[in-house]
Amino acid sequence: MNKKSTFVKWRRYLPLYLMLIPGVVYIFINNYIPMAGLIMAFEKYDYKLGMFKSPKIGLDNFTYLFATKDALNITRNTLLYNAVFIILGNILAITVAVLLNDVRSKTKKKIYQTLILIPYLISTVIVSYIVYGFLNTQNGFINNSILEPLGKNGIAWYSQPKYWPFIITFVYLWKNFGYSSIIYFATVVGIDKTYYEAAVIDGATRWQQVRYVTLSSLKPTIITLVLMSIGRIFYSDFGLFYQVPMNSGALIDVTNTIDTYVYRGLTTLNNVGMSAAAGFYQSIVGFILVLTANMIVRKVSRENALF
Amino acid sequence: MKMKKLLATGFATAMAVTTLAGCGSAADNNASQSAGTDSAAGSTQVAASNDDVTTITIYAYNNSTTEAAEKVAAAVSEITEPAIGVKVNLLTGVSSEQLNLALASGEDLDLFFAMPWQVSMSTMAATNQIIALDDLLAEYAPDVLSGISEDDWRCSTVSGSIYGVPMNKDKAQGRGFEMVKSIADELGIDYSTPWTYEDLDANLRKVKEAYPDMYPLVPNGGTMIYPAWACDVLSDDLGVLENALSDSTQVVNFYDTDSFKEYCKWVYQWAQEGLMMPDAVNTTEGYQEFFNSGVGFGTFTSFKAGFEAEETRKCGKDIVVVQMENGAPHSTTSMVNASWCIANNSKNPEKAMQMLNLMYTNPEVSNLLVNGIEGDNWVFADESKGVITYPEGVDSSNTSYSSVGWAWPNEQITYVWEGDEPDVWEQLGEFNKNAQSSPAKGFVWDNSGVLNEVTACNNVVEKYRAGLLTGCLDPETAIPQMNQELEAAGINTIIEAKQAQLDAWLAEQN
Repeated sequence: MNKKSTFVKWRRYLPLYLMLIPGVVYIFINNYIPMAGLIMAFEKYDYKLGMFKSPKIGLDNFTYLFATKDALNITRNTLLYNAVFIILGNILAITVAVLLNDVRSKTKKKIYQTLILIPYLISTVIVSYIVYGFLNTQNGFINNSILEPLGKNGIAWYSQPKYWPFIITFVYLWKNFGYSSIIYFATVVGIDKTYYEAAVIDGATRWQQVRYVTLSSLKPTIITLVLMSIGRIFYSDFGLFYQVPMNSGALIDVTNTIDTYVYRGLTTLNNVGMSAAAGFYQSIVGFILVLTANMIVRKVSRENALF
Repeated sequence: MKMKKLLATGFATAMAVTTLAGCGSAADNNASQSAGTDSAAGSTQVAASNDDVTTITIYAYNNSTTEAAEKVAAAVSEITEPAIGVKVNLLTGVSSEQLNLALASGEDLDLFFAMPWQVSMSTMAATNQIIALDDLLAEYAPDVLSGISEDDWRCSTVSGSIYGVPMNKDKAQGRGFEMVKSIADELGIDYSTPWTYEDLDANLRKVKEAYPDMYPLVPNGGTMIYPAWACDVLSDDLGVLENALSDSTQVVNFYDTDSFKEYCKWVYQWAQEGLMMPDAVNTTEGYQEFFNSGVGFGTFTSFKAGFEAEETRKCGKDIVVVQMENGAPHSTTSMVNASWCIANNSKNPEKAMQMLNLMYTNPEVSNLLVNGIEGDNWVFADESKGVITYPEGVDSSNTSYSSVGWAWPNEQITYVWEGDEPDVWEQLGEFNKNAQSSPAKGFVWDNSGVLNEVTACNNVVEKYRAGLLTGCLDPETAIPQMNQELEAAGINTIIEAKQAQLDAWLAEQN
């Protein structure tokens, strides 16, 4: 009897499982099979012997990471930048979404929407040259058209690490806020107008309407989006950190993230084992962070936790 | 429940299969390699039938358009297919990043150039990215083996095996300053005797005064060719002999030497005063473009016999070079061991070696690869003397296939360019012979014992080097900071290991 009911249950769910297969196959091929490559982090890689037969050297590949400030540095950069991106990015996106909602004219609304979305669609390589157009020491817009008329000396932007945390953040926000604004905007549009009417009748000011109606309705969307970005907090936008600073050596301290570090390790230093070690480190710390973030969310609002 | 089990079994099987597949393909590779040995043996002389044409992929240093590279490859294949059964696939303009990625990812790649300032031969040999050539050379390229001197082979030997065929180019270099001749002459700059930094300083000022819009000193691709004195970098510049012209064999930290500090101090000062192009570290153009467009006057360079003519052709303006005071021609391992190597990726190393043999010994093949297609990239200026020049309307800036002879195995069997001395190759031979050898010439540094330190140190070097060499960073603060970081990264361990290896090597020589 019991067996039969399991069978019936299975028959009922079978189509669902079938629908699951393509996704599972994809994830398996794309995300699980490459995990075998993690073994390279513990090897002195030998191209003749290949991945599984190269001599094992334990944790030796990791020592160089921690022998210098590198590990600390790239971890700090990756985390802090992403934290700033998440906080400022969402605040900006929500603000813009709320403002957009108050634009009455349909044509204007469409124009604004398109305009703020355009940067998101530009390739990072092109963005990096737009930035270069502004920051180039001799011909750049800022040095030439702003600082010079003010009688100030031009700044060698690409050699001065102190400016770059701001530049990178600015470029990131400029490029990405449009996209998240549109997502928030879609939710804002969906809010029932009667709430606002009720609020107005109760004498709510404009600010109170935003705070008590719009923002509360946005809460689930905000939590989902923030959680999704926290899940990726240990990944960085490679183009943003590699292309935009033009791979300038002087800026490495403030622009090196784990992804660029691994890439540099492989292309300029030609060391597979150590690159794999850095990648492994990224996975481990990323894993821990996602678990922690999820744990916190579960404490705060259980139904929104991922697992 | 059962289904779950089934599913689990399914996954397990899939996993096992993929793992096995990985092993399988590796085994296949070996099998095909050994099969290659059998079939290729003895086929050197025999014209191969069309059925077993092997494609050999060559990575090259010079720039070209894709079409031109394909055209050259087709022309070369026309010769090599009947001769050794090889069809050539040519990729030009390969950067060191591309090369490293191709070697790491197992892309199709048989023959490539290994420049000591881009890749480390001993690292590639230690990780088996390249294969030992002794047997292949003896079997398929005896002329190459006997044609290159014992001394030179020693420079491309790692732990007893030959790993590369040294390019038949300048094997010694002087260090100097090259500049646009017309301006130098106009301002009465004397370039007949070696310059000190003070001389250079005075001359740069002269140029700036006469041409305020020009930068007297320009970088090359965001950095500067260095060092500007005779230094033996001992394969990488972590641990060097400060002066290759002296007898001292003491390994020191390059970035802590007085020579380096002095150089950086001058360049920084020039950058501050507008004599050096500002923010040079973020330029991408080569000095040729700066010279050609009239933006730049001169840059540091290494030089050899026939250098001025070669540069004149490259820059499109008459170029002269003057030796720097401490830059007399000298010869070190790194100058000799720029080599052509066979990648471990190669499915048919025997054919690759046969191809390399032709590239080294066959003038027709060599000339096609070095100079491109007749009519497109060059025409005869004087066929009887074997002198060539650019066709009408073509010059160095718009040719579809740039001629960089020294980056090929043997430029000395190719045609001579108009403007070069007709006996340029003899002159080069003289130059190579007369240069003073560094006491460590022939010593190949094996960094496999200190890879962690080397990687960590290279990270530090990446951060500071270009900035210091181009005067973008203040040496007063940046050099101590850099050395502090280098020490933390273990440069002293590297220097110790290098010194020990060098001492052992020196003891062996006597």
